[in-house]
Amino acid sequence: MTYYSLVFPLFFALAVLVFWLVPPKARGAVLLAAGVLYMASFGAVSLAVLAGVTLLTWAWGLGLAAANTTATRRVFLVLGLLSSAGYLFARKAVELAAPGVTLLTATGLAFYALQSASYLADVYTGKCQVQKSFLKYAVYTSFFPRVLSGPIGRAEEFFPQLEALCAGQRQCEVSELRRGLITMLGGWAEKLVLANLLTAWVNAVYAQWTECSAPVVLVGGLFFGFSLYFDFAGYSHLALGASRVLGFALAPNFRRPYFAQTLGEFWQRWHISLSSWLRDYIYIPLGGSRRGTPRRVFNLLVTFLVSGLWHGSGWQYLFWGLLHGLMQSIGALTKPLRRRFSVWGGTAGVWARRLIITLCANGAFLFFGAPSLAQGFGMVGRIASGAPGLGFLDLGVSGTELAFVVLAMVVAFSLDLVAEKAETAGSCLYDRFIALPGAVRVPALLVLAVTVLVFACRLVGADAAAFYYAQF
Amino acid sequence: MKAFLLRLAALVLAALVLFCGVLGLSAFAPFSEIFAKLTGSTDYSASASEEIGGHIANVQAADGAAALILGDSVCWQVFDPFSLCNTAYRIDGSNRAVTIAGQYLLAKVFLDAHPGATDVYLIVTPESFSAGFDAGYGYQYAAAPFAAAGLLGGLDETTRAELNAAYGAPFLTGRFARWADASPLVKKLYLNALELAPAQESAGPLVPLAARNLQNLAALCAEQGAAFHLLCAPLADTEARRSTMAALEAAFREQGLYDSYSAYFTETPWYDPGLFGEDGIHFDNTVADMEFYASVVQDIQTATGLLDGLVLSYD
Repeated sequence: MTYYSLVFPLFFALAVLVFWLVPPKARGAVLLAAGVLYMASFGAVSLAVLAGVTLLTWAWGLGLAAANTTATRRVFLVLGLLSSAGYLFARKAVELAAPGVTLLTATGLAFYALQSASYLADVYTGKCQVQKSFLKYAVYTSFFPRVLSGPIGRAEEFFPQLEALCAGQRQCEVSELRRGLITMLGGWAEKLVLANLLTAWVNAVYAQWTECSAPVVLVGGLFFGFSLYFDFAGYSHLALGASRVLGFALAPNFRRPYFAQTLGEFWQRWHISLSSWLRDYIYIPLGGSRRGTPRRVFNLLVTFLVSGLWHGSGWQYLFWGLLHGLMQSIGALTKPLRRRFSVWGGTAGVWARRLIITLCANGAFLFFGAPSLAQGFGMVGRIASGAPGLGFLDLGVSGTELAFVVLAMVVAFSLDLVAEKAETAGSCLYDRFIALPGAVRVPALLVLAVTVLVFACRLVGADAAAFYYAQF
Repeated sequence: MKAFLLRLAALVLAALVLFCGVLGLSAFAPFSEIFAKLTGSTDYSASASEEIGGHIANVQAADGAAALILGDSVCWQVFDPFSLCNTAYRIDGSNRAVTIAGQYLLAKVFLDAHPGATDVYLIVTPESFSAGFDAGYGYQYAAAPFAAAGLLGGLDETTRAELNAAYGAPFLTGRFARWADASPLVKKLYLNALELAPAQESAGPLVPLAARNLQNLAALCAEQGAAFHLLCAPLADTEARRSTMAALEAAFREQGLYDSYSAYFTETPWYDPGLFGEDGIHFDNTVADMEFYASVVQDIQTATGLLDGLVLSYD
């Protein structure tokens, strides 16, 4: 039951209705029941793994909080990490080292395992309190708006809001409902209108790259990053919107990454919940930038290799991580030099830097999207060869569809630009939108809603394209 | 909160109304093609309706034909090569998805347009007797083209009730059928909705729909003074096909139809399985040509003593 399945709107409406209608004390139980039902729709194994990880990490957390000595606390921390992120990374490493070997996995594991690990680490460092209530902890790991593909939550962000909702201190507010629903509509538009259409063409390029002309492979490879962006940002907006309808204000997972002017900034804007998790629980514990340049480079490489491994048990993901680690290292080493040029060129310079970062990020994503590292290099080789072959319109995606994709991308990036400017002025896209007169706002919402409905028809009678990040 | 919920409901309703407007628009050029491409509906074209609509137009044509040959795709394969060199015979083999009810309607249209007709032949493989109003091809072949031509009223009450149960009365109107044919998007949504909740279908070698319409067809011919002949289309001589025929024969006997149509079973044209394609039902087009089909028809003529005067050559 993903966000675009026919059942989801009914499930969500029912969950929201029951959540706000029951007494505040029962809200946690409603969320847990909804989370269990939601995960059960992905199969008994997924539900059992979620239950196992939740129970184990909750118990290790209690043990950790109750332990008197540092050594005992460390034992509980290690046990907890092994039961969550440790198992996740070990599974990916085993599958990478021994192709064909598949260890037990489950839908959403990559996300809630990191959530559980961060909870235990935060309890260990005293950053957050231990959660004694199993019910509340289970709501934290199984919170259905984000259990499938994040954003990866943090205990100190989630539990205070849950406590406030269960204590009746936070009520259902029209402004939050409106904001949540409009955010969800935007997420659906990103996924159904943009990502699915773009992915259809990009997937065709990746499937037939040996027959495609060099320019087609180049554009297909570079546009994989855009298709991933609209897919995952769409999912994230759906998750944030659904959470807000349920009274939770979660931190954004994407902040217009293609407007970044450095790769470091790109990672502060792309999949923020994972980037910050890697920063807080891998990069900084390794020493971050505090132990000299060689160690910093080493830490960056390790962090991005871990990121690559988190994404999948394939050498292409590790190579993608390595590329980013190297690019970040070069960025760190050349920072003093680049600082001199950072003010050059005015607006043109800003856009030139954005373009360079987009090319670097999407160039690396070319490997990320390939089913194997060999294909990634094969595609690069084909681009370099300038080989002739299939054209842009020879891949089963019509000119009408491609024209619409281009139009939709122009609209989406224009909105990103408005959001970027709004943020500079201390506002946001939603605030700008809601400040528009009703005569503009309502028709705009109607057009968006009808466009989403029309493009949802692509999913009818076909295997719906799953959210890309659900596979991790 | 109440005002917000009312506004939200109004917005959802307005969006749905506008979406219906899009569905309406999607039936007109150039939007039909644009929406079909954007919604991945291009596979839901009107080809089935055009195919069966062509057969309806053919049998309606006021020509000198005195006999009608109807049937499934095997009948079409064998007899259609001779359709242009026969004026006394109207040859209109279609396919089994049309169902026996559809064949009945084609015969009715022919007999209405040709009051002096002498013979109606139904030449089908056993599969035609198990075809019902399914959610797959049934609507496109057995319902929509006849609905668009305003012919469904010619069916008996029970068959009409079965059609309504399978496809829903509002979707069996000429207006909807033409709309769905003009808009691949509408057809895609409707056919996939059918798949979500398919109607209960009868199964077996001789479904009630086929038995009933076979009898209706015989009665109709008798009423109009034409002879009705049920013949078996050529079959591959395999164990599986023989057992299919045996099951159908048992069903015919059980329903008291065998005596009227015994020729279907006693004069079955069996052929070497090597002459058939991968499906084991149709002749392999790489080995079958006009001459071969002529010999098959001659075999049927010899075995049954029917199809007199059917021209098998363009010379």
